[in-house]
Amino acid sequence: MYKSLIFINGCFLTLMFLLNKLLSQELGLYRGILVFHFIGFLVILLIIFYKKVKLFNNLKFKFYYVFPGLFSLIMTIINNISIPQLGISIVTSLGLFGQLICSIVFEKYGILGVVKKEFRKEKLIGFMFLFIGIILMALY
Amino acid sequence: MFIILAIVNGIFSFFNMILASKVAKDTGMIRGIFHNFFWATISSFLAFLIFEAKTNSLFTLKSIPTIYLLGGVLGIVINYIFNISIPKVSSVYIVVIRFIGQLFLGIIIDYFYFNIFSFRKVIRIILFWYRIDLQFTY
Repeated sequence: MYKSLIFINGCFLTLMFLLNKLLSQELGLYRGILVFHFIGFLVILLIIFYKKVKLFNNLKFKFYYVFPGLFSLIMTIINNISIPQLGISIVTSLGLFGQLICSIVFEKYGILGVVKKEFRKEKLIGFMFLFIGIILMALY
Repeated sequence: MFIILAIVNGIFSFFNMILASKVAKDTGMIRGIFHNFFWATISSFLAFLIFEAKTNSLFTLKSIPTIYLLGGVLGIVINYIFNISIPKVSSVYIVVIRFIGQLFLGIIIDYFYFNIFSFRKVIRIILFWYRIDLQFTY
């Protein structure tokens, strides 16, 4: 069930990228990004008021709470720099390559609470196919 | 250089995913999403001030189709689904299955919205399915 949820999530991601791109086209790059995040912020505030969640009952603030928000901004900026140079499909594939390397390292050592799993050599066959895919994208 | 940037982008996106789920675990799901969007809003406001404030005014009103604004709502749904599924599913599957979803809708949008249909992309998706299959088999 969770696997199909993640699949739907991927579909939503593409839709979100498309809407963000259209928004940035209308408003200008950074203003578009700002409006997108601000709307998300307003919606989550509404949910917080509706569900009456206490926002500040946990006063222990840890420095890494800032990172997810910051990273999503950095990702959007990198996307906007590299997509005109390389094309969207190669950027997505290379991004996936980076993600896979990270996820394998994190999984092997169980860093940051990731489910720990041993790397099996058979997975290399899968990686070979991934590379063929990326090379196909780059060549044609 | 741009190739390295694109790979770094993937690494950032992975960290983003894992850290967002960790924050949600620490503070609760809704507060986790709140933190994500709060800091993203602040940092994108700063980025706007630094890079764009001279050329673009923040308060110029412009009519935008309402559907464009749905991106923010989708962002919350996506965050929510990630937060509930990351502790349950292996992270390699999350990366790969999400990517297949992205490509799937990407092709549909390309076809209906931009009128492009690329056979290459279909081959890639098939290769990806095969990859998933291998992962399940071994």
